[in-house]
Amino acid sequence: MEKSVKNDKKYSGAAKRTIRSIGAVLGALLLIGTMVAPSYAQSYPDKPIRLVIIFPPGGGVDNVGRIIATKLSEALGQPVVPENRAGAGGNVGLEFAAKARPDGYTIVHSTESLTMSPGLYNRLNYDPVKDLQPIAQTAVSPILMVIRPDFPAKNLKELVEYAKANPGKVTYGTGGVGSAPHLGGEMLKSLAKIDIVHVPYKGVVPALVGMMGGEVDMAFLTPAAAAPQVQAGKARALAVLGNTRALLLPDVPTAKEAGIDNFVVTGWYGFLAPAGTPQDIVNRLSVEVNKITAMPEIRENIQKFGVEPVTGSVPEQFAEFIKAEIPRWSKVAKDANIPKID
Amino acid sequence: MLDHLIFGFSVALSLQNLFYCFIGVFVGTLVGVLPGISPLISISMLLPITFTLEPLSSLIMLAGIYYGAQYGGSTTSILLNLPGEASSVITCMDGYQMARQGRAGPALAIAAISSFFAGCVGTVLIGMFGPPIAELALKFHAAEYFSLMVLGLVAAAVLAQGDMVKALAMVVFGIVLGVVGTDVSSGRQRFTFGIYDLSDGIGFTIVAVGLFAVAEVVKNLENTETTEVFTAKITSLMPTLADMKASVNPTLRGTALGSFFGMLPGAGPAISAFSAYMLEKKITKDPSRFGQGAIEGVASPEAANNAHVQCSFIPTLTLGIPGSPVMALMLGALMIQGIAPGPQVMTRNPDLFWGLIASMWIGNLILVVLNLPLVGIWVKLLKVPYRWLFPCIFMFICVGNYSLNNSAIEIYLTAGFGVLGYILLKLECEPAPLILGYVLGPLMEDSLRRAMLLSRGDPTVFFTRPISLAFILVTVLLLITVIMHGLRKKREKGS
Repeated sequence: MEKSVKNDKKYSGAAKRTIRSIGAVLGALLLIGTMVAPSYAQSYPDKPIRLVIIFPPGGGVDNVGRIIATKLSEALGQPVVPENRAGAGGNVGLEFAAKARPDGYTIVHSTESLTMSPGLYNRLNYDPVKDLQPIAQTAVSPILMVIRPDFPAKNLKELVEYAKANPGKVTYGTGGVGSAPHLGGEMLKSLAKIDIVHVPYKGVVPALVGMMGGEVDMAFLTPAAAAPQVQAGKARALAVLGNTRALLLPDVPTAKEAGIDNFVVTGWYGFLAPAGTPQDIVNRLSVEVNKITAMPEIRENIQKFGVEPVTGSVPEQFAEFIKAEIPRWSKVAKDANIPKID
Repeated sequence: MLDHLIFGFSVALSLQNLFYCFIGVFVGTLVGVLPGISPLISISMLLPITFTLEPLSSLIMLAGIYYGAQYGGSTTSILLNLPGEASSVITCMDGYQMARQGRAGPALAIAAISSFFAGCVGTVLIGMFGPPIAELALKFHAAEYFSLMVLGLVAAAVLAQGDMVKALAMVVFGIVLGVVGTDVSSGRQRFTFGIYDLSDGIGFTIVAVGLFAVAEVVKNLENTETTEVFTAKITSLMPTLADMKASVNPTLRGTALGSFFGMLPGAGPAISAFSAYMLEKKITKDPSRFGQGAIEGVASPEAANNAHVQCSFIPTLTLGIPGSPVMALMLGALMIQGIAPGPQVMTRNPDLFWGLIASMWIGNLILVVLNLPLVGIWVKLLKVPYRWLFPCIFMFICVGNYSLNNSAIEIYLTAGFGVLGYILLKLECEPAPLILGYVLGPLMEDSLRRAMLLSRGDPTVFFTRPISLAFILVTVLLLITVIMHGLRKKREKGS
């Protein structure tokens, strides 16, 4: 204050008045600010929202997250800013979100990693159920089983027979140890009682390249990576590991149709908030996200990434789903003897 | 073929596409100049904007960012020893020395010219041999990759300047740094000390920027006179005729190597630049000039990394296989436009395929036109007093590395590698072999273990596969020449 009084001498009368009126406006704003603060839920959102994405730019969860973020910004009248925090199979971003302030200004776009991590890690720095509040699921992505075009087996049944006749000979590639496709391969081993060899790659694309180059016989992949090659005849899809067929490849049977029951491995994307985020904010976000995933053009864009949009996912039902998935994945990981990460 | 290219140019030369090409390479140059702000981040940020564009325009713009970044990355490497992109680490070694000798202008110009040449060759290669090359690249299995990596590492250790033992130690240290993170074969964590952020390994930019740029700034602050030296004697801005002549062959060789590695999905441009540099050093008459401002040491790796970047479009465009995360994003952009990427793109969307290829040539031309006049402005940057320049450098490094993963750990790590770089500088250990070990080590381990898994533990697989055998033989040959050379020297001394 002292300084401004001194400086006043330098200014003309008009400038003084301007400065005073600016000061008055600022003061008024400050006063308004303190008055509305307690009931912020009504004014939500009044500043940009941070959307944590748990994988690096370019993947499906990033693309879908960004598509929805653009529309969510319009709906909420505040920018929703995607922020990629990748690492440790998604756990870096999930931990960050779990420990963020539960004020509705930090949300996270997660994948099935959330439900798989408890079975893969000895120690997580957050509790996937207690520390995160589900908002809405956005998309599901069934795993696809693809095989070299010149491989003798033509369908899932023939493959199982071939593998039984040649134990330890058939190889399958995946994007990494502990990924959903890996657990899918291990699930096949125990359901069909066959001995096939897992060959982990550093990512989905190298696994696809390995299968196309004949390094491995088959691969468990996301439809987004595999569909173009299947359409071009460079790979054959044996089965979709979902409850229904994949939109991108409607001719490919589900595992059930191809002869193996309970062989379901489906990845998913969804929004969550730190636990303790006010319920009305969670509900508001859930409603908005569902409105967006129901828009025809958004559904179309999401489908182009090989995943299937989900609408009508309410927080309670999403939470039940997460609770049910965790023990299921843990069992698969345990049965497959996947070592737990410290 | 010619018809196709003419068709491509007719599409790419529309006013709209030219505009997006310019925007792309311009943004790319900026992105390349700023370390850490990678093409990956900028492309993913721009992706939503492209939804409303024509498919070809959006692809032209995104591709422009990608190869524009390679141009921009060399600028800061030469001027400030600050590798803006992974592939420009090599350019630091001689480019920066040239700048210190007052030859920043010629270094920047040669970098631009050799990149342009390599870019043109890459464009022609994609157009002429794209599909067969891509099929051939698929024949590279784990065994081939492993043998190739062995060759690369042995060459690096053997050809490094100065003490070979030190170089070997640096390579091994680099490999050790490279194994930090999740083990691909078992999924176990190695050397992460329970820190989540280390589970995907240490970022390349962190290691490179720390060892090169941060260490350099610290060293410069040690004695204030040297920092002002190279501002005084800037001679000419453009390369002399002798410079041009000396750069012709290295550019050709760099282009060839870069094109080769670019076609293999999974090998980053840094590998191309490294091998090109090592090759030049091996065949030159006076290897001691390297690292002291040899113009070949700028021309060759710059040509190599640009050829690599162009050729890495081959697997992406012809097979629909993204060779890198950036390429995956480009395919994402295509998918959003309703075009299924894959082998059928060439026949189903010829305008897209040939238009993009033609635009790459145009983009490379724009980059030269954009960069050559900028040389004068960039060189003026060196006249900024160092006490103002170095806080700016640090600020860019911090902002860039923070944006890698939005986490402060990256900044601490960079600082740590800065300290390490300074210690290595004092011990007169070259950081370049360390970086090579860091890049190749994990790739090599991954290929070795997969090759062994696929052969059920039979090591003869490296000798029974012809391509792999060829690499092993070259490695052995290289070792024999070095040993013979050493023995002869000893005998000469003895007599």
